[in-house]
Amino acid sequence: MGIFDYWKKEKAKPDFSSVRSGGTSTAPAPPPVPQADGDSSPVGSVDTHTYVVVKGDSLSKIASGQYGSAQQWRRIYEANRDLIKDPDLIYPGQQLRIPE
Amino acid sequence: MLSTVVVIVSALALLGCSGSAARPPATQSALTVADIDVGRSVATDKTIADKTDTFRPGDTFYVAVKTVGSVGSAPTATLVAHWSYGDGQRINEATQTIAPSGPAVTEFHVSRPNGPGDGWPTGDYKVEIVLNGVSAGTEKFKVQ
Repeated sequence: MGIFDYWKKEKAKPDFSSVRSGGTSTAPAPPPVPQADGDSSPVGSVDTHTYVVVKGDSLSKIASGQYGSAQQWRRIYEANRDLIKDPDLIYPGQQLRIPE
Repeated sequence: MLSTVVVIVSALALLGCSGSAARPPATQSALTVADIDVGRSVATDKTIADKTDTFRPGDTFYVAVKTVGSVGSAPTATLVAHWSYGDGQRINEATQTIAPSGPAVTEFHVSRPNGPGDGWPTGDYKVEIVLNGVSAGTEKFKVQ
C-alpha cells in the first residue's frame, strides 16, 4: 500500500471528536481520596474518559466537542498537566483524560 | 438384585462426587461481571430498557454492566468501557470507580450530537468492558 492509499484510508476514517460520554451506577461511589499537595491528576471517584487526539485538534476544539464550549479548554489542560507542557502543543495519538 | 442396586448407587455417587469436585468453590465476595447488555436506553435501575444490537445513526449507545460480589478488602473497583468502530478505530474510553457491596449495575453511554453530516456512521461497533484491568467481555453491535 502506497502513501497515497494510506492517506486516503486515514482520511476516510470518521471523526469521533464530538462524541460525548457519561455513565452512572447503582453501586455506591467510593469515599473521596485525599490528594497530595500539588497533585492535580484525577484520582478516586472522579470519573474521566479518554480522548485520543487527532490531526487538527486543539484543546479549544476538544473542549468544544466535549463540553460544548471552547472556553472549557483549561479543564482538560489541568487534568493532563503531566502530559501537556504547552497548551498550544498537543499531538495526534496523545490520550488525554477528559474530566466529567 | 441387591448387587445391581449397589452398583447403580455407587455409580451415581461417583458421578455426583466428580460433578461437585469439578466446580470451583463459590466465592461470594469476589467482584465479577455477571452480564453485559447494550441498548438504546436505560431504566431507573440502570438496566437496559430497550435491548438491541442494531442502532440508528441518531441513537445513544448504552451498555449496562451487571456485577456481583463486593470489592472485599480492596477499597474500590474500576470499570472501563472501550467503544470502538470498524476495524478497531477508537471512539471513546470511559472509566467509573465503584465500591459495590453486592449486586450492582453500572451503565456507560456515548452519543454523537446530530448535526449536518453528523450522527454515527453505519457499520460495525463494539464495546469492551474491563474490570480492574482484566477484560470482562465484549458486545458487538451495528448501526444501519
